[in-house]
Order: sequence, then structure tokens, then C-alpha cells
Amino acid sequence: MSTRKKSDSKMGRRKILYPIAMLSLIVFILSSCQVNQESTNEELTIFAAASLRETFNDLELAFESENPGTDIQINYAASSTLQAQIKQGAEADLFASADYLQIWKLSSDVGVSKPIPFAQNDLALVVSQKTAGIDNFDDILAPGIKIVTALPEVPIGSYSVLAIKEIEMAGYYGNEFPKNFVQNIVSMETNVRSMLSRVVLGEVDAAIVYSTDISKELGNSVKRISFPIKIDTKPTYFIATLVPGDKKKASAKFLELLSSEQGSAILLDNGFRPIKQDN
Amino acid sequence: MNASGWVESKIGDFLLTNSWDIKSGEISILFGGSGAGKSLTLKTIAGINTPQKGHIEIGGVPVFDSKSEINIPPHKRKIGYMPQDYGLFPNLNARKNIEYGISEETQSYIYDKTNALIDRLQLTSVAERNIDALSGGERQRVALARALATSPKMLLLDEPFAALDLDLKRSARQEIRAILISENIPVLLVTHDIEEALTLGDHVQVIQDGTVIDSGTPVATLTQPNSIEIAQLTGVENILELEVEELLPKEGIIIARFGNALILEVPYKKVEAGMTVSVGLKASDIIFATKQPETSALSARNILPGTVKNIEKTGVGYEVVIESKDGLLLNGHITRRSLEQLNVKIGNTLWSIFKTSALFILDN
Amino acid sequence: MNFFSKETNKGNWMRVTSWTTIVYMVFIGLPIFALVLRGLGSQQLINNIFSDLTLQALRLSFITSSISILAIVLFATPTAYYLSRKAGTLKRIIEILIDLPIVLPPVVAGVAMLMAFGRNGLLSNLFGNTEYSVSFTTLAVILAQIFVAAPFYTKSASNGFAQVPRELEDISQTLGMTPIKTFWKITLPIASPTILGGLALSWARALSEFGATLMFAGNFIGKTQTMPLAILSAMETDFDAAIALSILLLIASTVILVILTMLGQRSNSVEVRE
Repeated sequence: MSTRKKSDSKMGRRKILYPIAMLSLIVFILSSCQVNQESTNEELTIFAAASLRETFNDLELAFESENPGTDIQINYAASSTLQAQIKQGAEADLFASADYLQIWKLSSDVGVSKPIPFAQNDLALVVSQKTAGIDNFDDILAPGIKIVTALPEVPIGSYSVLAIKEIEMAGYYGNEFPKNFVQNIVSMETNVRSMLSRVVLGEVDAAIVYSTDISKELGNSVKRISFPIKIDTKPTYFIATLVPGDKKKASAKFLELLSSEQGSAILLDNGFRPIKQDN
Repeated sequence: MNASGWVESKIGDFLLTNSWDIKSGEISILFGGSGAGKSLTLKTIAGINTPQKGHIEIGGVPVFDSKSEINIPPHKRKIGYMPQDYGLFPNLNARKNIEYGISEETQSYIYDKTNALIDRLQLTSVAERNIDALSGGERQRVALARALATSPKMLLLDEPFAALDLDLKRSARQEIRAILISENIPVLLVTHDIEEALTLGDHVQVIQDGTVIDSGTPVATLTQPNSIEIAQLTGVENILELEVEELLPKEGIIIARFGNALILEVPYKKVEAGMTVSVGLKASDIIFATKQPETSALSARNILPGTVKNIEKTGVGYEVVIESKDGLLLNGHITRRSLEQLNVKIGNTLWSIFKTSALFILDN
Repeated sequence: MNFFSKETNKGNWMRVTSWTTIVYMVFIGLPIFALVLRGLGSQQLINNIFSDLTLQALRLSFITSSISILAIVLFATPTAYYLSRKAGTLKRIIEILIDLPIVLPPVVAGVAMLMAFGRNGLLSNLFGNTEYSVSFTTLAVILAQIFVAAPFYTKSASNGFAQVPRELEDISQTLGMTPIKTFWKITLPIASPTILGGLALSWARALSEFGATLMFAGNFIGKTQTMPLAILSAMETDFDAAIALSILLLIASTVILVILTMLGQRSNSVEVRE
């Protein structure tokens, strides 16, 4: 016969508290896992360069209204980042890259179809409104000016390198160039958004970005100035189908949309130059 | 070289007022219960606490004066201070603790002085040990050596024997007293132990609630204290309320009455007949008898029959509570042997016997 | 004690602690093990470790974090002592401010530093736009590291000092030592195990600092590209290089942690009796 002490019921309650908390934790963790569903024909995963964000969002809307059964998931990032993710096993059906190189780098590891070029962009030189006295390219070569570029491994970065090379080849600035340009670079980033934000804040004076990145929202905080020569380097966007995606009807349908009149119109709307396929 | 001064210090609601004048080679005791302000007095003299008002002089040099705004920081006061738990530095061994205060002198000076102290305080075998490997008595001696190393002009000791057990206490007291006197500096020692005050002190101040309520020689002040408060502090077990019946100054006694009819003889003091006085009686001064003693054959004048009401074991014996005529309750002490020999049990009849001189009138 | 036996005389709670410890260690250990395994599997590992990019990043990380830690120790130690000896509302406000960088996401810290010290920041606008601004310089790297790593040291140091009884300091003074000498001879030695632990954490934090550095100092090889930033850049192109750098950073942080903790253990033989 045992006497039940008042403290016993409290200990009784405490005894089950820990196991209950543990159980809840495990349930939470499990429910937040996204179980890898068998990709049905109703789902399409696209990895797209960050600069394609607005464009591909518009394309997604258009596609889903015409194909109500299909759900499109788009992952935006710098093309080089996307390439690294895919290489590490991220599952994507389509890969829209800002240059050919990223798709080419994948081809040895992942099954990739032949890349199709679908759009072209222009390079733009933007300058902060908070800095006075920068009206043309010469001005950003002056000492003390701060320029931010992208890493050469990132598409916008490699395009910028080509553009600078062109200016050098044109003999415009003599021996000092491109040394004076490079000396003014204070940071090399991985995405255009952060580069632009630095220009907007006035923490740097200039950056080379895509012309499509100069949205209306930026408005008065940045100013676009022209290069000293007409730049031949035109950023070209390629799209390729990756191995799991080639079985899907949706992939082909999306590519169709991209090359259609509707697709071209969307590209134009967003500042790109559509590339017509010669089939 | 004297140490003298007075302070008035208010901390929160507690107000400490004290004054002292101690000669070289003299050990002055600050006696009281906890919270009385003893440690605070020491800290104030050492410079750790700053009083609102006061004047503190050591070796003729004023180290604090509120009027002339002198306040010399503790590291310049040349005072030796030993706190209650000794405050040894845990990151240094015994030797390094001792030489801490003189560590900036020349090597040979440090060596000589430290070794002399180690010898004198019998720390030779433990000098290189870490302080957590020392016994209580060893730590106390290290703390004292450390305080003495700086050749201070005054010593402040806060309950230096409190952490030691009884045997060690008694032997340590004599040794330490000898060392303290040989240093020939004023010593202020704080304690709540009456035996300590009696064995070590040349002079005592009784402090309670921040004020000194009595001072004088230890024997006079503590064994037969003047006031009820001191009586309580020094552990006088019986305080009796008696009415003064008759004064007999020529014979040196007072006849006093408890209750209706119990008569006691008390040493003479200038009081008025009819007054009520508080009278102290130590339990250890009561002798017990199982048979009524022959009054004419005893020198004690107070012999009271009574019944044993309670027997309680104390540290070294027993405390017996006897109820006498008119409900007078007395606490007495008895050894275990006597308890057994006299077969003292609750309900037994016992006579309480004590001399007139064992009683002393307290100031209210 | 056999973890798997049903009969343990220590009861159910001990069994629970054994199991949670195992799960915990596996959770932490598995990613690290996987990282090292992956790195060892790459043929380019040695090349990557000794590449110019890596060595520059390593050198920059080492130099900047050392300077940051030095600055933190010099400035935070007196503050920590002040905190340990004071009480009251002011102290609580100061403590909150000290802790703030811990809860601030590093990128936010970086933006905040730009707002204060950047070219268009508060300080610049107060003193007039000068030619020189601290953003995008190596100094900015150091400032960002100090900002995020300081709390770890300051908290530990303040706790360490609080453990030193005031009484010991008082006694030291009665023995003739000035307050400053007391600090060096008594307070600091007793507090050192705790302080060294905080130092290790702080240094590790400074070494691994990324978000604030990227935002405030930018990413430029040799000038502002510390190891974490180099790993970011490597991610863009060469995953294997990123792995190599990660392993290198892991080794560096571990070494520092172990050395400082061991130093702390050595002086831990000193225990303060309360």
C-alpha cells in the first residue's frame, strides 16, 4: 500500500512532458520534409538565370493559363550557381542560362540536350545619381571612382570582361586602359541585384549590368551612360532540356511557347531580343 | 604608535558609529553578534568602505578625514587585513600569497622576509603548496603571514578563528596572541566568541546594531555584563525580574523578591526599594543537590527547592530547567556524569544553589 | 556503462542522455565527416589548397581576424570588467547593446555598417563627404569582424570577472597593490579560463564571418576576400575548390578552438573558493 504524495502527480506530469516534446519535434521535422514525389506530367521545374525573372514569370502565367493541368516551378539564380546546383544533383527539367558556357560545363556530368539560343540582351553601364560629375565612360576611369563588377565566372562578369577587352582593342584609351578601370573595381559580386543595390545606395559609383535590369523602379537613383564604342558582345541566352525533363510533354510545350509569337512578344516586352530559330 | 579614530557610516538603513583608540601591542576586541557592524568597522578602517563622516589615524598619520577631505586609498594605508574566510589568492601558492604584498621589493628582501615569516608561523612544510591543499589552520597562518609581510602599522582581524574547530582554536589563540603582541602594533580583532574575547583581548567594545553599547576590560564587560543586551550576547542563560525589597549597603547585599514569596540575595547596587530590576545568572553558576542541603553549612546564600521540568542535551553536557516556588524557571548546566550519579529525571525534586556574587544587576 | 543494456542502475534518465548525446554527435559529425570525405576524394585537393586564390584568402583571413581579436580584447576587456562590477538599469542597457550583434542577421549588420560608415553613411554626411571612406577596404573587413565577434568575448570576459570575488581585490589593495596591479595579478589570472573560452569562440566567429563582410567590405581578392567569401566565389565555378577551401577553414577554426581551450584548461587548475 503506497501513499500518493502530492509531489508524485507533479513528477508524473513531468515524466511525460519530455517524451511528448520529443515526439512533437519529430512530427514537425517529418512534416516539413517535402517527400520527393514522382514528377508527374503535371509538373515542370525550370532553372532560369536571374535576369530572366520577370520574363519567365510572364511565360509561366501564359503557359499555365493554356495548360491548366501543369504546374511550373522556377528557380532563379546566377546561371553559374544554377549550374553548380544541377551538378550536385538538383532536379530540373529545363535550364535557361545567360550564356553557353554554363550549359556546356554540365554536359560531361548530366544528360543535356543541345542548347538552343532564344534571346539576346545588351550590356549597360549604370552610374549612381548620388555621385556628381559622371557623364561618360572617361569619368569612371578617374582615380577614386568605385566600380563594382561580377566575378568573371558569372555570365555577366565574363561578358563585362569581353566588353572591356573590346574597348581596349579599339585603342580608345591608350596604355593606361584597362589598368585604370581595374584599379577602380572595389568588389566582385555574384548577382546583379546586389551590384545594383550598391549603386542605388551610392556606396559605389558604377556597375556593368544587363540593360534589362534597369527597371522602372530604379528610376531616378541610377543613370545609364553609354560605352565609348558600340559593344559587339551581346549576352545570349540558351535553353536546354535536362535528362529527366526530356520525357515530359510539358518541356516540349514550353519550348514551343518560347519560340512562338507569344513568347517573342513577352521577350520584347521585357527588353530582350528574341532569336528566331531556323529549323 | 597608536591607531585611533571615529566613523559614522550609513549603508542603506544601517548606521554605524564607532570610535577607538588602540595602543601599540594592544589587542582590542570588537565583540557582537552578526549584523552588528563589526566587519563594516574593519572595512572602513582598511579603506574598503568610505564612511560619511569620520577621522581615522594610523601611526599618527591621518588616512581619512571627512572635514579636510582626506581619503587615502587602501593600497596606501599600510594596514594588515585578514577577512573572515582569509581571502587567500587561489592562483598563487602559499609562499607567493605571503610575499604578495612585498613582491615588488628586491629578491633578497622578499626571500628573507618571507622565509622568516614561514618559520615563525610554522608553515615550512607547506610553503610550496597550493592553497586548496592547506588545512584550515594552515590557511589561517598563511593569511596572517601575508598580512604581516608588509610590516603594517595596524592589524585588522575579522573572526580569525571562526573556521577552526575547538581544539585548534584554543591552541591557535595562544600562538597567535604571542605573535600579535610581538609585532608591537595596534590590533583590532572582531569576534562573537566570548572565550576568544576573554583570552585574547586587552580591551573590548561590545557593538550591536551599529553602536557600541559597552566597553572596558573583557572580564568586567563580558562576564558580568551591565546590560540585558550584552547579557544576551554573551549567553547569560537566566535573566530574572526581581523587586527590590530591602537595601543593606553595609553588608553589601540587596534583598529581592521574585513573584510573591521567593527571596534572593543579590550584590549591592545603588537602586531604590520597590524598583524592579533585571538580574543575570549564568547557568554554569548553579549547583544542584538531590537532598536539601544544610543551610548553615553552606557559603551560598541562595538555596531554592524545585522540580525538574526539562532536560536537554547540549554540546558538552545537559541543560536542566528547574521550576521553583512562584513559577521561577532556572536554566542550569550539569555534566553527564552528575546527571547519572544524581539520577536526574523530569519530575524529580532538585535544589538549586548559587552564591550571591553569581547574581548581577543589569541596566535596562 | 553499456549504452544498450536495459539494466542500468542509473535509471531511465541516464539512458535518455546517452541516446540524445549519440544523436546530437551524429547530427554534427556527419556533415563534417562528409565534407572531409568528399574533399579527400578529389584529386585536385592539393592543387586547390595551395592555389594562389586560397593562399591569399587564408592570409587575409588570418591577418584580419588576428587584428580584430586584438582590438576586441583591448577594448572589450575594460568594458567587461566595468559590467561585472556594476549593477542597475544602465548596465542592463549596455548588456543588451553588447548582445545585439548576436541576434542581428550578419547581412543586416553589414547594411547597418554601410549606413553608418559607408560613403553615403551617417558619419560621412556629418563630417562632409571626404575622398576616403572605409567601405570596400581591408579595414572594413576588420570592422565587420569586430562587430559580429565582440559579443562572444565580452560576455565571457564579464562572466569571468564576475566570478572573481570583490573581496580578493580589496585584500590585494590592502596589501599595497593599486587597482590596476590588482587587475593584472589577481583578477585576470583567476578569470582567464573563462576569458580564454570566450576568446576562442570570438575568434572562430570572426574567421567565419561572411554576410556583414560581403555587404560592407565587398569581395576583392587579396583586399577583402576572406576565406568564407572565397568559398562563395568558388561555389560559382569549381565546386571542388569550394570543398578544399571549406576543409581548410574547418581545420583552421578547429585548431584555434583546440589551442585556446587547452590553454584555458591549463589555468583551470585554479579554482576559486567561494
